[in-house]
Amino acid sequence: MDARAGKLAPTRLTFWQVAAGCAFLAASAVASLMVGPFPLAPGTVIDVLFGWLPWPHLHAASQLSTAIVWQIRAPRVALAILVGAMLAAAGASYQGVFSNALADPYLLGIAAGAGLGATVAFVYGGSILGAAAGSGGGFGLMPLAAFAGAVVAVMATFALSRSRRGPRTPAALVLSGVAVAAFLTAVQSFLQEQHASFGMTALYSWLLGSVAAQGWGPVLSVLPYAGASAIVLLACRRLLDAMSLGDDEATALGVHPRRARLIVIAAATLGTAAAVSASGLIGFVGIIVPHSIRLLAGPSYRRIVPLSLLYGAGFLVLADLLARSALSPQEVPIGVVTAITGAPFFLVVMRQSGKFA
Amino acid sequence: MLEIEELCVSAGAARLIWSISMTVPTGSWAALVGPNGAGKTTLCRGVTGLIDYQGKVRVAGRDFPSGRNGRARAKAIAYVPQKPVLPPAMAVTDYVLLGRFSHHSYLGAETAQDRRVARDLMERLELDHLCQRPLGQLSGGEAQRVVLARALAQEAPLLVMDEPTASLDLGHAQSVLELVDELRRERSLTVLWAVHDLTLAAQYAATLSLLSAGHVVVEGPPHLVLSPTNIDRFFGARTEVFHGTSGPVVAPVRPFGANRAHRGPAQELRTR
Repeated sequence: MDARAGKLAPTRLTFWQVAAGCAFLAASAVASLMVGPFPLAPGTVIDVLFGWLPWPHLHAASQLSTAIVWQIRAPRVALAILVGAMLAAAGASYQGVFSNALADPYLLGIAAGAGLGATVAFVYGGSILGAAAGSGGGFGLMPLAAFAGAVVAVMATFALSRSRRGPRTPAALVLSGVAVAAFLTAVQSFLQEQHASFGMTALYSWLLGSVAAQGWGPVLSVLPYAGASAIVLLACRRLLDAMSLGDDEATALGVHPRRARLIVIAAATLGTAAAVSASGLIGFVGIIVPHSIRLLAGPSYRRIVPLSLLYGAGFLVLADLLARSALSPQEVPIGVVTAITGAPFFLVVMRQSGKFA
Repeated sequence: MLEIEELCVSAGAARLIWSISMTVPTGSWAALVGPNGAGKTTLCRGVTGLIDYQGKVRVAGRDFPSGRNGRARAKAIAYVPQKPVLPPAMAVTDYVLLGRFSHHSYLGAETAQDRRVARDLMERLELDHLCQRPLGQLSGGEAQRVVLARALAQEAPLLVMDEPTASLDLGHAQSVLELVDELRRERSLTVLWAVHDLTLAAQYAATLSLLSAGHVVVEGPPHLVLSPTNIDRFFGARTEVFHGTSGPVVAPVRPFGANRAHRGPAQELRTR
């Protein structure tokens, strides 16, 4: 309209921010599809990806490269995209809904709860449903059990922090989360020790985190939960901005803080549980990605939630690329990669900003 | 119009508000005065719906039962808290637009109408040069105007203010209150104002309600409510009340003889 209107423009997600996020995600996905024991050129990858489109083809993609991309690498990249997007968006949402910069699926004990649920399913599920489910053992039960464990963990953390006398400080929530996580991890370690003879290597590697998908199955089993969770979280981003004023003022603005918190926590927990059940425990994504976006794009959740989905996905694709190529042919657990790159970066972010803690 | 009927608030076994009834006509300004802990803030919070209460709160003929909050209430009642939460990195425009939350659809973005309301208010409150400034970088007076702009963006017929000028110096307090008064006349806003400063209360409000221990003990026009007897009885303060050009002026008085007590060596007047 005029210069005045431009100056008073609210913080909104701009086209260029979304475009940059998509470009980052696309670039990391293509890079990840290229690298492996059988390297592929970028042109080949793009040709394979869009080969079904009626375009003139620059390179005729061989059967082998098509199989490598679609059967081996793409499921893995797709799973990394889903898990990364989910963990980052869930972290951002927990931070908004608890008004707590330190909130993260791991610090709140949610991932530990999901891990315990999955372990229980792995250890006992096999004997209960093993006959019915065939050789898959407990793995079929894992998403449900992980979600149940995550819900128990988030409720325990929340109830513990509320039961504390005195003012509700951000630290109370994090301390409760740490206590819950420690307890659940201890129970899980106990189960693991008790069933050490049970062939737990699969479980160990799962716990260290991996997006090494066996075909498209895991991707398709995570997709509906991740999709539903992402839609709800995107719809709530304005609500998260209002809730940053605290419960009283949010109420005065027309928000139902309890209901809003319940919806956002349920959606973020569902997303976290789905991600954890498919990929194991991958830390730091939920805290690095939203905080970096906050530094670059400001504090409005209207930007943070959608950009966390994009950059979280890209970040985890790159982390997975590093995990499987750094010590090739050996694979480093992806949780180790995110922690090693994430922890120092996180400290730098905290030192630079100072205003989030 | 704000009608409060037999409003009671309890916290555990303690009663904070004992059956208060009051009516503030449309476009009128009512002040809640009283000593610390008399229940001014509690009454404001009850009317806004931030705490549970018994009794009735009616705004513009519509009942707002306890616990029934949400968009409808936010469209009827705007609230300026005593200590507003100002996320330091949030931009002024975004903060003012949060006042439009109750006008958004559940999934929709803000409309051109929302932005126009916010822009007009920010011009009106002389905030347009600060619109991209983070809230953490505002002075006290600017911050108070921003909070007021956010509350007025709700376009509610009732404005509840809890000590909005407590942290401001006299000049800034005066300019904020003059703004509220202009907007009240322009939009026939009904104003409920909890305030400590009796002289300021008397200058702006049409009616004063004096609260003490959860009751309204005296209610009426400022010059009748603010008598030295009432102030002594409910505030335990020794005062003189003068009749100034814009209302009664409450001046504290020191006990007899204390005025002449030695205050230490004095300096000469120097003006630079």
